[in-house]
Amino acid sequence: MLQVKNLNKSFGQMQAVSNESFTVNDGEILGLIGQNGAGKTTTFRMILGLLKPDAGSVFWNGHPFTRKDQDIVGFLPEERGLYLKMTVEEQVVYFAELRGQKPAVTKQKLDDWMQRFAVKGKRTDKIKDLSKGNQQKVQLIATLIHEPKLVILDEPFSSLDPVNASLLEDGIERLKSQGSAIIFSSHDMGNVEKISDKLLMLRQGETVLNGVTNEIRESFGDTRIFIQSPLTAEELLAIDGVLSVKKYQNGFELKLANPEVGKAVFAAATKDGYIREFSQQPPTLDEIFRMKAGVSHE
Amino acid sequence: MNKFWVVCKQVIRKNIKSPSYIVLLLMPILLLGFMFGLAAIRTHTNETPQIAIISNSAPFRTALVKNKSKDYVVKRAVDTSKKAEKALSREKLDGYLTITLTGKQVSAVYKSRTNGNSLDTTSLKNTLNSLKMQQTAAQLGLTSKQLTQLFTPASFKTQSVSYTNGKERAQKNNQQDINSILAMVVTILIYIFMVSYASLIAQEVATEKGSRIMEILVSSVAPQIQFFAKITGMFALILLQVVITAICGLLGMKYLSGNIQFLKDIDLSQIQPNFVIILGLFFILGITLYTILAAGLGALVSRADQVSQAVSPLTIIGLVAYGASFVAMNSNTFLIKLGSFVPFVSQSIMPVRYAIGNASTMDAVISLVVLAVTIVLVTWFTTRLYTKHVLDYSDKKIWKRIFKRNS
Repeated sequence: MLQVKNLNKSFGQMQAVSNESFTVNDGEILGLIGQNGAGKTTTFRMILGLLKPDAGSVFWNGHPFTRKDQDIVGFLPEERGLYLKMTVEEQVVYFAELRGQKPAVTKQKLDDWMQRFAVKGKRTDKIKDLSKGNQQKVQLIATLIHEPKLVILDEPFSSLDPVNASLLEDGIERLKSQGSAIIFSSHDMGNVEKISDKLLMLRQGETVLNGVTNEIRESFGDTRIFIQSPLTAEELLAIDGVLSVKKYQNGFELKLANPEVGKAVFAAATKDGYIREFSQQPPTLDEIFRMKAGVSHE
Repeated sequence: MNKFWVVCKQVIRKNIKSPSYIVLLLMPILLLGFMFGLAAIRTHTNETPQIAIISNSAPFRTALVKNKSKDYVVKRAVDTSKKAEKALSREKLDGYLTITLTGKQVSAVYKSRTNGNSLDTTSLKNTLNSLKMQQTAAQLGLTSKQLTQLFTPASFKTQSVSYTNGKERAQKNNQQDINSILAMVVTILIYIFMVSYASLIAQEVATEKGSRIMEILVSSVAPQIQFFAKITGMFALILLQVVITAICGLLGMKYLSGNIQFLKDIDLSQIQPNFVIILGLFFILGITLYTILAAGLGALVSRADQVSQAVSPLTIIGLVAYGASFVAMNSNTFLIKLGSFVPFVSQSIMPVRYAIGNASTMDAVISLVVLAVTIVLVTWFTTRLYTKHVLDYSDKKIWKRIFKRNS
């Protein structure tokens, strides 16, 4: 279990992270979201001990997280880097050895991992001869092959195509089921919504959202309706409490003043019986993200 | 400690496979091969010259022809200038000597082909002189004993001394020559090793930083451990190079000493152990200082292509020190004296001063101690620099970064 308590870090005049706290339990995935410069990488670096926080502390299973705990970490930095002249095997073996896994063990596991991530290439291939996507996968294997208890992935989905992104999702889910505590950052809400149990959103170093993913959405109330009915946009907008109507696929997306308005919309839409879709939901994470990213915290 | 060796092993393994290190490693072998080749070409092209001797005095000619020399071969059949000219034009001869006796005067002219093998005329001259002397002595009725007395030269010996704290310190001339040759060789080696390995380690660090591998490394292994592991790995590589260079050097001495005059003069038994120890210490400490600082400089740059810029102040100082070692050969000015105690340049200047007797053993030891203390300070400073800047990719000027207080 990773506990982060009241982390603060500033660079000169700029407050990079302020008063940040969160907990990631074993077998739990935390999605860290925020725009560029929100403090995601700084947060990771403080957890890893690469940066010293101005204040606050990081705990692992109740004790302060130190260099001694570094073997249980799997870290994928935002900027990827591999030794281009090494072979896939040498590279993975070296990184795993740095995390305390014996070369023989790594070599034994490597084929399985390469298969799981569908790496196109042999273990004797030089890294520089692999395609960018395959290099990325090798980097992921090098991050995860020692089965870390704490996994930190900085923008793991960036520049992955949907097929590979889902391979990565599988990989993360697998570690989760093995009981690893996982933190990853992303600016793609799709991935975050799909796999994270918890969510932390940063905006210029301030925590603007923090909690269980579903609860965060629920807290905004069921103020969105996706509807496909005989009603026109004008008719929908005329209902009291409907703030806006937007075209959405074959129907409309409505914003409501409060969840109660939903009942009136439902009654109006179903007055002639069957309708194809009526779904009342809280705002999507994407919407919350854009809402929060635009609004000042004060 | 375990990870220390993992990183250390990695540095060794990676470099041993890299072309630039292999070239560095093979340099002495290539150099040796080159010298072998050169020596072979020289012996091959300059064969013993074939000459003819012609004289209007038959006894004189016979005496000269009979006198065997390894410097030339006399073709006896050629005994007239006509025959000699002919043989010369057909390149059967490399040259011929015409000796003319007029009364008591002996004059000799050596005529040679410009494209022939060149003749070292010293031994021919000596033989001619002694023949002339014998002839004159016979004419004067001198005995051979009288002749010997007459021509025994005055004894002349050179003795060089140096003064240490006002006390005279005798040193054999030959000894001093060997010491200065050794000091020069070591100074050259220090310079070559320093420049090569300083850029190698700086490149190593900067590449990892530039390719962002550093973040993974630093999150797996504490930067301090990593720093020392890298330096240790680098020393293993240096050691390998030293061993190979030494083997090449000794082999070269063995096989080339017959061909190269300067090597012939070196008598290995004359080398003093304490001198070698001091040279060795300057070699080790000098290279250590540069390597450590270079590793720190490598951590300051953001990309691998900025390495040469970052390391250049270091290599310039190394070059200046190397240049100063030549000055130290012939002069002992205040600046040279001072330089032989100042770290970063002392490793090149002090060995030379010590070798030619301008500095005492005490001076050398003091300079070594200063160097060692500097290494400790530089290591402390550089480790901090490395730890602090290894993940800093800002565009600030390098020198500003060094003196930046906090990050």
